[in-house]
Amino acid sequence: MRIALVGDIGRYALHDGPGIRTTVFFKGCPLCCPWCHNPEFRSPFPEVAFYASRCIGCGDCMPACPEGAIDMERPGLIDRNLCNGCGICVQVCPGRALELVGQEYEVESLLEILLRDRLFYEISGGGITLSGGEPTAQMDFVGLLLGRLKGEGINTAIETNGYFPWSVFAGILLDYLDLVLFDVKLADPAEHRRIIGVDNGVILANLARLIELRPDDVVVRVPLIPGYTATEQNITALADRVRALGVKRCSLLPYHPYGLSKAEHVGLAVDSSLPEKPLGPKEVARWRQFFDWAELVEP
Amino acid sequence: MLGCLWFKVADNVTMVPEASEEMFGGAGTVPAITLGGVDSQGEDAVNDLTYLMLRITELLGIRDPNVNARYHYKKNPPDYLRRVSEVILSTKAVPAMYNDVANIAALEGLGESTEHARDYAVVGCVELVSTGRDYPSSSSIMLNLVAPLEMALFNGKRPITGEEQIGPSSGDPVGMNSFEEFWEAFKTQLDWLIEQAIQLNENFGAVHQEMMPSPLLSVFFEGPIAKGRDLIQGGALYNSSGATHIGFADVVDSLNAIEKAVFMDRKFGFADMLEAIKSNFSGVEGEKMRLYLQHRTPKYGTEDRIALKNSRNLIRHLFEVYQAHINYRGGPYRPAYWTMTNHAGLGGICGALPHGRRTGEVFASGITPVSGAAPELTACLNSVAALGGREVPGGWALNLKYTPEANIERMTERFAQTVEAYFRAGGHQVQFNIMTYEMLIEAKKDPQKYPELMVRVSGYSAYFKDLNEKMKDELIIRTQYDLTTGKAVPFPGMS
Repeated sequence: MRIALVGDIGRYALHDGPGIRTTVFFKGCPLCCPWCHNPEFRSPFPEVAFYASRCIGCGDCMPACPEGAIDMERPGLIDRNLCNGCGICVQVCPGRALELVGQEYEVESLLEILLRDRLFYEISGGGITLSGGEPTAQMDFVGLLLGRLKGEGINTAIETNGYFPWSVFAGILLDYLDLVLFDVKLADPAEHRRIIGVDNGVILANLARLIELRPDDVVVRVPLIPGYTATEQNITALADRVRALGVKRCSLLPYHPYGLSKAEHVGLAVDSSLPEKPLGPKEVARWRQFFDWAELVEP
Repeated sequence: MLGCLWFKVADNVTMVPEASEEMFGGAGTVPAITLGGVDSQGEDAVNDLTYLMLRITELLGIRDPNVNARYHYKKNPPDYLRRVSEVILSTKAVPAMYNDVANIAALEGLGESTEHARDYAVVGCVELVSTGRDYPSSSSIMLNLVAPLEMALFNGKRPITGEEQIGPSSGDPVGMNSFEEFWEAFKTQLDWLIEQAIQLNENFGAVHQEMMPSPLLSVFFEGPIAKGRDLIQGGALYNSSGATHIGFADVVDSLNAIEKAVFMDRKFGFADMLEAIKSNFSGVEGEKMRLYLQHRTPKYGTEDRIALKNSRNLIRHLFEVYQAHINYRGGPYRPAYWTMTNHAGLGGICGALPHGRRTGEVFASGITPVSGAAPELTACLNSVAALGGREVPGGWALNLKYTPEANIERMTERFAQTVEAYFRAGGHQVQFNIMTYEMLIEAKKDPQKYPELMVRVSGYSAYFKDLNEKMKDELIIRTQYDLTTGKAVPFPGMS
């Protein structure tokens, strides 16, 4: 695959590895976490995001849509069953109320953008982070891109959910990666399957192999989600499990309701059990104690 | 003792007429002090006194003197950059920062010896002079770039002067078949206006030479004694005249909008666009067009190819036009991009523009992109820095607004790294306001509560309460970037 679908390119990223970085958000993820903070990157297809507050109600998008998916009277504007993400409505919208999430890039065109902030990387010890969605879902492209980035001498990191075929990851990605930010969420396989849709066996097996090969270049990241991951039972089990694997560095990602409004923009249902407030520092401090054996890296 | 000196310098305030407050609002006499950088031998010039002066600037937080910090990224120590960054974050405004590498190269480009170019100081707002050697008339010309744009749109006339034929007739844009034709028409008007401005400046110069020799001042410069010639007759070693330009970003964005929406995408005809501009984008269709132009056309401050091309072309063209002239003292004209409060005052008397700006709205300041047009900080800095080089020898003012952060130490690190990257990319100058939209809105509403709120205008500092309403609004709407995300913060009430 020489072409990738990219949801966004975030420049001046400070929380996706060391220094000032540019983060590429690949579109598409095989997991389905209810608390996903980038829900607009979950689908592997382009989607139209609708920002109601910017809409001036001109109605130009309605006749422009070849699928008849737009109705000014409909809450959320777009019938997601009909919309095929062609983006024609986006072109006619004068107010930026419609935006296309998901753009195709070739390695060279993406590389050109990523190298624009090279001075910022060099000065701050930063680089490029591949995120998503799930970057390993577009493994061939990511392998080519990482090869080119390494050729340019750029520091590289990946944020992954760990759900990938090990042999391909180890074969075409790992050698080009300086840092792997590896998410683990739930310790219990059955819970993992029930909530996220897949077993965690592959994920933990991948983590074990990775730690064996590159123990110093892995940061295990645990999202702290009230009602899901942030329970005493899960955190205890998870901490024990990753410690037993020989993990040295961890990072705790406190829940933030940022994903909720983003889900609405692309017409996704929101899990109503998720709180509207971010997780407070007291709560975070409590969960940190379970990882006192590890080097805790600030996200 | 330094504190007393700072107070003494700040004490000198001249009376100015009301009209002057429109264009130079809130300014003191703007005596400049320049710190840091390299000496004439190219070595690190930062010393104990530099740090003492930075400390005094930090402690006093007063409008004058206008403190400027030079920074040479190959020679000055990282501690110095960190300290300057700290003082800016602490005073929320000063000092302004100057890139030694880019500025020395620009001065050399105009024929100054390397030693003399290295020994530059800042005068006025952001203008560069070799200390004691250059007698610069650094604001000889202050030219509104929007005027020739309007004249190109209306075949030599301007909305504010109605039917009067001001500039040459450069053709009705409605009949034009390509963007290049319009660009030629714009240059016709621009070159004509520059010729007028230079002629006027030369006439003033001749009168000045005739009526007002400056023997006392001449004694303090290198050159007049040796040459036996007064400063005003060209006695100094260097004799530049500055020509600054107002409305740079608005003109570039207008050119971009015309190129993309009229000629490339054929989204609007030129006739419809001109009608909309004349009516100040009135009616539903007018507002739709305005929003489209504002949101869907290329913007200076992003890395869009069209925007980069048009901004570079304008800088290059202005440089070339001025280099074809020698001033009455035998020196070169130096194009510059700083605006004091002219961008607010002149904005008030200009019509609607093709990039979606309404009649009477302020222009962007200095070389700063239009407010809201550059959503990403690094793209903004890269695209401005791309204009750096020998073609801007007169200096520029880039105004950035950053959200204040609670953790000063962490912010200082990122702040310094960001300036460093911008300088290495070629940016000449940058100055900051470390404040939010809300703070400034509040300060406008309730000036009593903020008697000492100091802001950077476009090359000098002023107390916010002293500024006229239009200029206060301009400071309020300036794009606010958040250094934790590198993104523009949405204006209150917008999303």
